[in-house]
Amino acid sequence: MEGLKVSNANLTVYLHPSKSRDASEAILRELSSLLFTFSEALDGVVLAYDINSLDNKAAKILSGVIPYFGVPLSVDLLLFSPKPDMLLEGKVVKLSQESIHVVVLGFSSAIITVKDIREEFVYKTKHEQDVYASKSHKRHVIKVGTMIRFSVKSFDEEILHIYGSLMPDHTGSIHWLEKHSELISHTNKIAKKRESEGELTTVKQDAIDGKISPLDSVQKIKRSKKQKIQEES
Amino acid sequence: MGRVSGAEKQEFSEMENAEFSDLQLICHVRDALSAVTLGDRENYDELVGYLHRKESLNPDDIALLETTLKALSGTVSCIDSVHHESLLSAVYRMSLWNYGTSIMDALIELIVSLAASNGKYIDWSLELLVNNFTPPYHLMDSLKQESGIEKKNKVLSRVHAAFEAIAVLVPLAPLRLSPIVVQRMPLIYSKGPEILMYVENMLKLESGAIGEIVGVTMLPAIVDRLIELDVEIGWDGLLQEDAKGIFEMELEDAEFADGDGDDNMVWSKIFNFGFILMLTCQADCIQAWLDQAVGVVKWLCEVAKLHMVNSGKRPRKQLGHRVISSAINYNSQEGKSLCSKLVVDSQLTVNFSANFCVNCKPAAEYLNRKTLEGNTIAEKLDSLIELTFLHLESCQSSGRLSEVFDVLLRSFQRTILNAYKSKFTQFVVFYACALDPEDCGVKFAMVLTDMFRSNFNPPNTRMSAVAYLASYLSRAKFVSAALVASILQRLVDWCLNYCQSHDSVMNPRAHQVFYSGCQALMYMLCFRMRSLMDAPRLKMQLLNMPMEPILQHKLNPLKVCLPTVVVEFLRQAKAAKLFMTSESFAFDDMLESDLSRAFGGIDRLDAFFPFDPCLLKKSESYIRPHFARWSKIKCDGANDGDLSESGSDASDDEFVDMNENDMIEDDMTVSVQAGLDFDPDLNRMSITPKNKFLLHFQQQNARMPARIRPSTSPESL
Repeated sequence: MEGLKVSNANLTVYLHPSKSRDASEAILRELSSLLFTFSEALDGVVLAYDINSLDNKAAKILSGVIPYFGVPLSVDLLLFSPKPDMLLEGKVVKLSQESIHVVVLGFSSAIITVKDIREEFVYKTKHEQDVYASKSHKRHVIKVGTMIRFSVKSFDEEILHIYGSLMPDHTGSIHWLEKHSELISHTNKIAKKRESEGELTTVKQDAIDGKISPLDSVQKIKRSKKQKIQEES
Repeated sequence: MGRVSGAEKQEFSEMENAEFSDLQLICHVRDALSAVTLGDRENYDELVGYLHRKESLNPDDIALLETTLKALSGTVSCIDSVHHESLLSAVYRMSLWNYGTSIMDALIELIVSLAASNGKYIDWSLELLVNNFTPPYHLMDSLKQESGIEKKNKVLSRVHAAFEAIAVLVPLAPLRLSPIVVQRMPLIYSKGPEILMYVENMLKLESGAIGEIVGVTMLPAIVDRLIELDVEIGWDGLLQEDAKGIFEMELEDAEFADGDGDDNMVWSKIFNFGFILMLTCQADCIQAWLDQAVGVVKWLCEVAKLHMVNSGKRPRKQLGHRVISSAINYNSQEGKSLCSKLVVDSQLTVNFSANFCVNCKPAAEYLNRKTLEGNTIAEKLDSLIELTFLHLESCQSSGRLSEVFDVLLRSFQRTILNAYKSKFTQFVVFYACALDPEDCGVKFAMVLTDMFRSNFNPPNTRMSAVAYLASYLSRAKFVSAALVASILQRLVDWCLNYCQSHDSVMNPRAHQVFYSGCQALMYMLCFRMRSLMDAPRLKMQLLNMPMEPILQHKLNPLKVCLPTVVVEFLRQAKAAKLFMTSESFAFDDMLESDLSRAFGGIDRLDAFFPFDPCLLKKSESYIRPHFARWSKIKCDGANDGDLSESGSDASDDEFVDMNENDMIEDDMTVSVQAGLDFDPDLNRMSITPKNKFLLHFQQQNARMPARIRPSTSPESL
């Protein structure tokens, strides 16, 4: 699945003086407030964090009416940032004539409307269950509980809502796709897939190394500022 | 679009034909919606028109509305927030309470589909559902009837099911629900039934399927609202600033000589008697009571007249004012009637005012809402607390009380503990402890003890915590003597430690935490000494506790702590033969002093006994079986009467100023102050029997077959 990356960030967490007795708990609480929210500075939804080390530099006290002190940290963050045309995987929770509702990673809701579902899939009611069945491949069936792979059309950052599409050929029920990937006989399709897979792995590798953008320092400053604003508000 | 509305209307009403399939309907609606973007609003406006019909009683209209809603559910992805604004606002204004079950279901389906289709509509859908927590104003009164209750169940079950459905489709929706629900809580000045209904829904959310996420914010929000109501009530049930405004005072203070101290004592007793008479006289109806009450007033007037004739002095005006204002506020129904009777019966008014030099203003000026509002707020608080009690009971039967208690305890520490003299809200925690003494009861005591001992907490918090601890352990019947002994041990150890590390003289302000600890010790022992002495092991533990060095230390807690507490403690200690050094009681000649009021600070935390008897009728009936009353503890010697009530600002509370021979026990005092009628005839406010009746009725209805109920919904066709 694409869209997930691990990146390392140098953050500064600003704490209120009343928390100075138990700073580590306060830091964890501040980081937890980031969870499941989209952060522009980090370019993604923070799913998990792991504190690498509390840099042993001293925390700087800000001058002001309330003297917050800033603790510098180095944190590993698991980020989720779906971009258009990425392939995501999720579980179907509801099917209707008009749309398929999917939940990705247990927290993000996705919707695929009927106009984004390719002609191959037809809505049917089989054995009192609503399904989307493929016309060309009899066993390719999508029903409630199926894990499907779909491509991203757009992503609503505020509510973490994904608009998806089942138009591309290599989308559909994952179970079926894995089993029958070799049945896709057309050589072009296979070649295309290999190409796109290669790209995906390189992107993933870069992401894990955490050295994606040369604008790291700029991001750092942005992040710290963002933290400060968050702390003070 | 070739087809025009006329043909469609015909088609819509011919539902039985089934020529019009769902798919065709959906296509039609989809076309209508997309046509709006091109400027063609005709079909769209017609659709919106169907939604506006509220008084749709005939089956055709109902079918039409239902079909429209269902078709819209199938086309949610085509609904645009800008182009179809009138449609959305029409749906927003629809209230589930106005319709039958089929339309309710269709509407809920539409809301859920909208929420799942687009992130923009999630907040909108949640708000719409929260709006349905309370019925529209014209339906509020019907809730008291059986049909209203049935409707309420139908609507609320669907609303909460909708929340769960949305949560399945949009997992982050519950996170967004909490702030919406809390923001839309009715204010404390809203009508009682509205607040009650809303809080009922909040509690339902807390115990429902999404309770894990939402529940953490619901209970604290409810407790906050309880506190807000609580602080509006003055100490004796009156709104402080309005209490004296009922009858306008004449400024005749100068006329009275100061030397009528004795007279005041006599009048005090007379009024006690008259007031008790008024409140406890047996009557089957208001009129009969009223007659008797008026009789009492007349009698008081006669006595006053006699007094004037004999002594040439009129009784102080405050006394006259007290009778009527207390009657009004403690016993709202009857009191109001008495006031209006006084106002109407001019002769009576003249007599009353003449004798008590009170100037009664004519007519309804004094029966204004604000004056009596203090009592309605008390009623609201009472009902809300009762609702919370019922919820706690249901939590206990489903086994969740422990987690709920943790949330409650955190809320207590943050809000109730530091609220300036919160009067009744803390009983919620008391009741939760009563339901589960081994777990919650012990936890509460431990948390309070730790808060007191930890010097990270500010002094006021520590003093408040120990006041709560002392009052709780004294009043909770369900707390074991062993727990009391262990807590006492810890307190004694802390006090001793403090004494040993502070070698200074008596200074109420500087050592206020220490003095509050000592007072807590003594207060607890006043209540619990008997039970501790009865158990041999605990008796040994008590005798071994180093209390003497604490009490005899330079810091001199016996002089600083509240005199009533000290005196009672010493009396009991003497009777129990504690502190016997060389066969004489060590503290025989302890004197009271004026310093006793100084250590409490501006909040008077020295005279703060939070779990004094609850003055709210309904709540008190729940608390009663678990609550230890003072009068039952008999010591050798005269019963000193109430110990705790005198702890309040006793200066203007004349009913409590009693001498030792009064023998007015806890029970009586409570009934005097709160109009608590133990006589069921007068207890018209009781809700319990009615509830049981309604529950029974509901069960009966649930078993009635559907055919018997007249139904106009399409499904019965």
